[in-house]
Amino acid sequence: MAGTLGLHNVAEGAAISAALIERGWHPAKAALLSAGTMATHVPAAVATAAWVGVNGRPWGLGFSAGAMFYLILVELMPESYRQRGHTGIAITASAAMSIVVLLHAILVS
Amino acid sequence: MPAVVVVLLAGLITALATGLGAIPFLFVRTLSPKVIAFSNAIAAGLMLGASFTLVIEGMPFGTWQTIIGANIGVAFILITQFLLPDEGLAFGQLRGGGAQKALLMVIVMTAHSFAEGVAVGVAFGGGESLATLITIAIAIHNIPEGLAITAAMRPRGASVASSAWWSVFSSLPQPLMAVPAFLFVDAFAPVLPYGLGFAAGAMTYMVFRELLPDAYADATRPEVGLIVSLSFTAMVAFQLLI
Repeated sequence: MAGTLGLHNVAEGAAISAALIERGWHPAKAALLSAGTMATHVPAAVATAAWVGVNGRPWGLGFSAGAMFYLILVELMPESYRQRGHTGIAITASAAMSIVVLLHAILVS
Repeated sequence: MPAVVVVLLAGLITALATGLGAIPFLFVRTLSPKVIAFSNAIAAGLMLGASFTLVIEGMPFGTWQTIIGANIGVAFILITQFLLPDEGLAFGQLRGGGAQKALLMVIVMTAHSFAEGVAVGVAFGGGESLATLITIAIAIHNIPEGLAITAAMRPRGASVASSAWWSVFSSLPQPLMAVPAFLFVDAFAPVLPYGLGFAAGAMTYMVFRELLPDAYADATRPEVGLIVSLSFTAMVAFQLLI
């Protein structure tokens, strides 16, 4: 379970770092912050286990999916379109999606 | 009636239901830049939602196959767009760039219903099929897809009537594919994840390549974010709950 989460986090770290470096952050600083955001796994896992238990899990997952989805639409996509051609962005975004789905599928199975 | 005829008739009814998706646009008289941007955002959300449910449907049949299919779908649209000329192209009343994009949208949604047709046939082939219930479910499921096509075609200059017609047209492969898939489940089942992935990849690419950039052009980021998120959620809820 922990190993799964660890590998899963590499992809998420890449996503966070890409967003930060694009905004002028140093890669090392971005890596540190990515690690920082992932460290929230620990208290979040403990808190979730204590508070909502297993029954609350879909609410938590849905919450983060919604928050990420909205952030992609108001920040990441428009910024990307501003800097590069639509075709390149569309290819990159579609490819990134299939990589994450694949990683997730490999790790869960 | 033989089972095959029932499947075919059911499929035709579901295809016609897709045309109902155009109805809301009868009440939108003026196509201001804002309306066009919102319309693109709605289409983007609905199509992302449809892609999401296709991937969910495809994964039990094979994750790798679904993902490979998705990448082939992206490549297919990329190549088609490269081959279709920007200028001098006519599609219905449309000319030029708008015609190219509307035509691509119809191609993508038609590919999508090919895959869905196979999924329906495979899912209900062999076992006892509850024909009426299934027909109603698919028909309802198709309405937002018609809405997505109309929301994508209207801003590019197509009339409501022709959007409705192309919505129905894009759903016709559903009955056409459902019948052979229903009869030859064993032959179709292995191809299914590739097909579902293909449709999802092609739709996702169209969203990122055409619909989202056009939505951002005349609507604010929070507006686009909200409309896309809500229509995405609505589509997923609609398709997974029915």
